[in-house]
Amino acid sequence: MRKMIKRDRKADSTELDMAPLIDMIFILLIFFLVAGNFVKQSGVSVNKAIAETAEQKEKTNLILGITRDNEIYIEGRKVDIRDVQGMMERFLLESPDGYVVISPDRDSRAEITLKVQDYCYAAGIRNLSISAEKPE
Amino acid sequence: MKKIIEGGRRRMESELNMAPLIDMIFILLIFFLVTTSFSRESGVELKKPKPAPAQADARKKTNITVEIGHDNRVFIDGRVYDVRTVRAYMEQFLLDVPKGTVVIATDKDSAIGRVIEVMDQCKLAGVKNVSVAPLIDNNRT
Repeated sequence: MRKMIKRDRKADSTELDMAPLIDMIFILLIFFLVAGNFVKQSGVSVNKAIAETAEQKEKTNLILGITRDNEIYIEGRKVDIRDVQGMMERFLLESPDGYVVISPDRDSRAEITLKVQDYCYAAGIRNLSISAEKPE
Repeated sequence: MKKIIEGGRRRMESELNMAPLIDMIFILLIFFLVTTSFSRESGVELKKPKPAPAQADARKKTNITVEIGHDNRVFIDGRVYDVRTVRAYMEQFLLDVPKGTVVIATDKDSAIGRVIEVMDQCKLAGVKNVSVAPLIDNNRT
């Protein structure tokens, strides 16, 4: 009898206390849930234009990439310029007041960026900017 | 003695099995860790020019049009300027017209990087209202 009680107690003491671990993981999880924002990336790399007056944007939901060959990419797919307005209208249904960033290559034609911007405004996007980076 | 052992068994049985919960939370945590991006985009805004007010002061020129040709040259009043001298020009202009505005008229084929550079220079000079429009008159360039 004595032996049994002893073993019972020992099993109790070797058990890990999981409560603090779970607490911590929960806090981390909630942090990432709240702080994370999902960005629909353009899927292409571009040489950004350089501007000293560029401001950091607090939020970005969608990035439109324009390569130096004047091709438009959204989420890794090539998009015809005539489809941009329709895509932006659909994007606004998904996330109203979405923040859109146009990310043109610095050597792409100005006309493309201006047209894409026009189409975005026509689709009803209010928060739009052109990406640029600060010089080092 | 029997009582104590029974109490111990009951405690064991009523304990929740935490393992699946922890597994799931871990997977969620890793998912959010991997998918979140904390990099903030930086950018500028290209404004479109607004139509001039009806009672514009005709005596003083309140805005400058900077033209950018298809070969990325910068024209102000028909003369070619280097991008780095645009800032000085705009500072001079602002001394004459403190609330002056600048319209950047860009050729279809000029590089957007050059447009943003010129706009940057104007803003650095202190011009509050810089707008960008496509160049319609294409004769010069």
